[in-house]
Amino acid sequence: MSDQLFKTVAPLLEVDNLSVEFQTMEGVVRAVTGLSYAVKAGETIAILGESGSGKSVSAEAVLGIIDAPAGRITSGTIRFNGQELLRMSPKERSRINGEHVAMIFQDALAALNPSQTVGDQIGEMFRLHRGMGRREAFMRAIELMDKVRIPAAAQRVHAYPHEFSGGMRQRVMIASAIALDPEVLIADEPTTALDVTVQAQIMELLGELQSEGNMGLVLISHDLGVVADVADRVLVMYAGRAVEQGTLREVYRTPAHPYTAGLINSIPRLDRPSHRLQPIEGTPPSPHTTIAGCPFHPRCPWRIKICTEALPAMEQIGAHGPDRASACHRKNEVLLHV
Amino acid sequence: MTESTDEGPPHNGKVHFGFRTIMAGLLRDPVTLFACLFLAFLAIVAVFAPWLVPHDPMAQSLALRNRPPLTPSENGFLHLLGTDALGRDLLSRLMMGAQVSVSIGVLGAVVSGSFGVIMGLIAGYYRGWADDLIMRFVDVMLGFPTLLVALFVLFVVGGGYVNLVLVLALTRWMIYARVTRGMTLALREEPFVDGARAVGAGDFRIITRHILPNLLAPLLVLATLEVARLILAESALSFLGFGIQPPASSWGLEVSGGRSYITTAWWLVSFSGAAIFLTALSLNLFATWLRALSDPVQRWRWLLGKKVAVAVMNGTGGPEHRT
Amino acid sequence: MIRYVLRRSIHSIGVAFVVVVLVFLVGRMVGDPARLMLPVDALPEQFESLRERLGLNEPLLTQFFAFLGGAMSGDFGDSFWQKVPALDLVLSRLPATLLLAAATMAIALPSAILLGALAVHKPGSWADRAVNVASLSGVSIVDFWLGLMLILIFSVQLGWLPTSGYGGIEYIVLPAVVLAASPLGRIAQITRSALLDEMSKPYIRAARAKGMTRRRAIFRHGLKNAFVPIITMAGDETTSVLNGAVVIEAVFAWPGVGLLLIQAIQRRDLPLIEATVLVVAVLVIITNLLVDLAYAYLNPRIRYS
Repeated sequence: MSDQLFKTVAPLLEVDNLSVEFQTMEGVVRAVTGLSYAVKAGETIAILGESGSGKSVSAEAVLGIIDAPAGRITSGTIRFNGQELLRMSPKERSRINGEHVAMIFQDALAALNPSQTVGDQIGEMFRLHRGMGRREAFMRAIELMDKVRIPAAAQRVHAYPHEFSGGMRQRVMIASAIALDPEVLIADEPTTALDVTVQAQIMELLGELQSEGNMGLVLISHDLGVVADVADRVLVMYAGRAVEQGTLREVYRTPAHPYTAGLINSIPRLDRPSHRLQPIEGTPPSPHTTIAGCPFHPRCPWRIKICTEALPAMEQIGAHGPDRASACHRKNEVLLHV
Repeated sequence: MTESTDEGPPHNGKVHFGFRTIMAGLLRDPVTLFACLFLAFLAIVAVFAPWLVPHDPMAQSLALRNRPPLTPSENGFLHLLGTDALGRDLLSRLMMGAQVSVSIGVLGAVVSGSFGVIMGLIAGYYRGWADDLIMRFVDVMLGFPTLLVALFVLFVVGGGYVNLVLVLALTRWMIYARVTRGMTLALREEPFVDGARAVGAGDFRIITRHILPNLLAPLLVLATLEVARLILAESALSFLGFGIQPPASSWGLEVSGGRSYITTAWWLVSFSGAAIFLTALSLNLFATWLRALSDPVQRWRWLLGKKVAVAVMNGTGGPEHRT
Repeated sequence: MIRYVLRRSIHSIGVAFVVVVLVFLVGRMVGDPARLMLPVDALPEQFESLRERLGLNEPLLTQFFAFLGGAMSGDFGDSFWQKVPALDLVLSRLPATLLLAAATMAIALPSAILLGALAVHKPGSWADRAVNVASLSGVSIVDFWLGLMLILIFSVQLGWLPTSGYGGIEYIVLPAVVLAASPLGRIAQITRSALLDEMSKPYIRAARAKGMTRRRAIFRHGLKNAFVPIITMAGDETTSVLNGAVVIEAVFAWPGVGLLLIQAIQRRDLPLIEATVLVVAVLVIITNLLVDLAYAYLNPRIRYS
């Protein structure tokens, strides 16, 4: 689908200026600050960042499953199809979860109920939202297991999660998630815990299911390579903030933020003469400390005086359109540097 | 959907742990404050009872038998809690009874605790056949109803203060053993134990200097709970007639003494039993508070303003559940 | 599963054996049965004849095997008090205690689980506070005092219930309620804390993401997985119920094995005491075994191994 077409369709999911903070023993931790993004039908947006960047928390906020009472949403709105989720009652929210917005998690074994058969767990989607009886829900579960290509579905539907391999468990979770044809699917590190070969299979499956159902897909990952095949747009997060966004090509080819540039440069490449790997110097900031100015500046090779004083806002980059933005004082220079 | 249930003052969440903040915390937590004050009061009474009693606990008075609370007495003081069937002042008897009941509880905890901790240390540190043997024994004995064992053994060895302490200790040492063993098992794998061995420290030194100090806080909590349990057990045994014998006074004995007069002299049973209940309750609350203070997360939450009972009860169970 | 059942059963038999040994040691070796059973001023001939009757002049090992054999076949000798086989006497009183224990757990267990689940469902509500109060009171309660107080209020002052004895349902109400206080408190507390543990596990959050309401997550899924610690605690509480039954039966004159034990001790009837203690021990062992088996059944990893 071309960029032009995307621009005319209203987004399914809109996150606007979301901030989440946690109360901990050492003080308040701001896990997410001022995050905004949008997903349209059929579109895949990848949220990239290292652990601690706040990417998972932002997903949990959409589903309303943040670890309370320690965690609180302190600002922002989350809209699905124009409806403001944060103002809904828990009951209304639970009707949206699973039916319209679904989520799959990194660790399938932990995310599945250990004492319930997989057929029961998948079928539960139908029992919860469609009021189906147990038998019928079971039959639909078998269909779904076939759809996600779990072999011998009719027998394995009675098995327990611990009897499956990692990749199969992930498929079970995917089956539950797509059971009711949700409009938006959020995948939080879906392949991180899996072998490389299985990773590719799962990503392929996700891609297929997405185009079949015309879902909006939000892929959360730290692995640029994994999302490269499937993502249309990319949002890079650092220390709880969005630092860059754009289409996949734009961001990977011509990053406009030093952090993104650092990530891309640190990937070993087969098509270039081999040098020493170039990691990003330094470590991510501790979530308890607040850094003056840009949070990345201690590690940034592009740092100048203003970076230590003023927080750069996420701004459009020149003539590339409103969806191409970066939060860097020197973004235009970084953009042109290859 | 995300609810914040914090009730403390607004700040960035950092709280300092010191004497003043503890006092402030206590003032915010009246339940725990009550427990601490009651226990302090009880300790004073238990130690200084013979000098603090308003009347002679043994002095009988035919004229003032079974008198209700606040009856004036012959020598001027009021009988604050009334008199018993022999005209003796109930408050004085309860104060002397405090000496007996509390001392049995504390001594029993000390004896059972010492034996139990030693067993647990041996089992946890040396493992092997000692561990198997001791823990098998512990498992068997733990399955037994305390009271029945105590009754049976007391029948065989006879009653009296010393036997009572020993028998009660016999029924409870296992819990210390189990808890100590569990913690020792974990601690012996710690790097600092290897470090101590590397510089030539012997087993005894390692156990006493390195492992034991880390056990003190949880064991203190456990011991507090056990004192409560022992006081309750002693009062039950004395109530049934197999514990402390007259003319000595124990709270349980007072309750059984007042039983026949329950319709006419309700205060005899009520106040004696209330003393036992308040003591056990205060000890349990105090132990809950200690446990909260020794766990960094709960300590922080309590200092921020949550009540102890809530903070701890919402967490996982105490030493007894961590086996 | 079969292997697990066998292993636990053998373990239980082992425990029973150890108990028999211990009862023998305490009864026959630590104490001199003849001196225990006869009054202090009895004549030497009486001591001797009693010793003969009880076989106390035999070598210790012979005595032990006789005791063991007797225990296994249910022969503890005759009660000196009632002149009937001790075991018969115990077994005749057992139903009353079992009834009391059953009534107690029937009150305590469902209420406690419900209370604990409600506390998790609505944090800070009356249920939450009630669990705190109940669990603290449960471990601090003075059962005989509470029993007497309730008798004072409900039987003496209000006249609603009888003061003591054995009969229709009105006789079991007060004893069972008093006995239930402690288990209720403990089980409610463990229910709440076990449920809270479950609720913070990833699969519950994943279930909420599936659109499950919190209530369903607690009652349908959390409870089921939290059942293990709850059942284990319930099993432990049964032991403490048997403990408390001794005192409660004394307070309410309830004709069970607890009261029997007290009466036997008051009458210095060693065979009866031994029989009672062993029967109760077996009861406790069986209860623990049942709890173990329930645990195995609920845990799919054991059930299908």
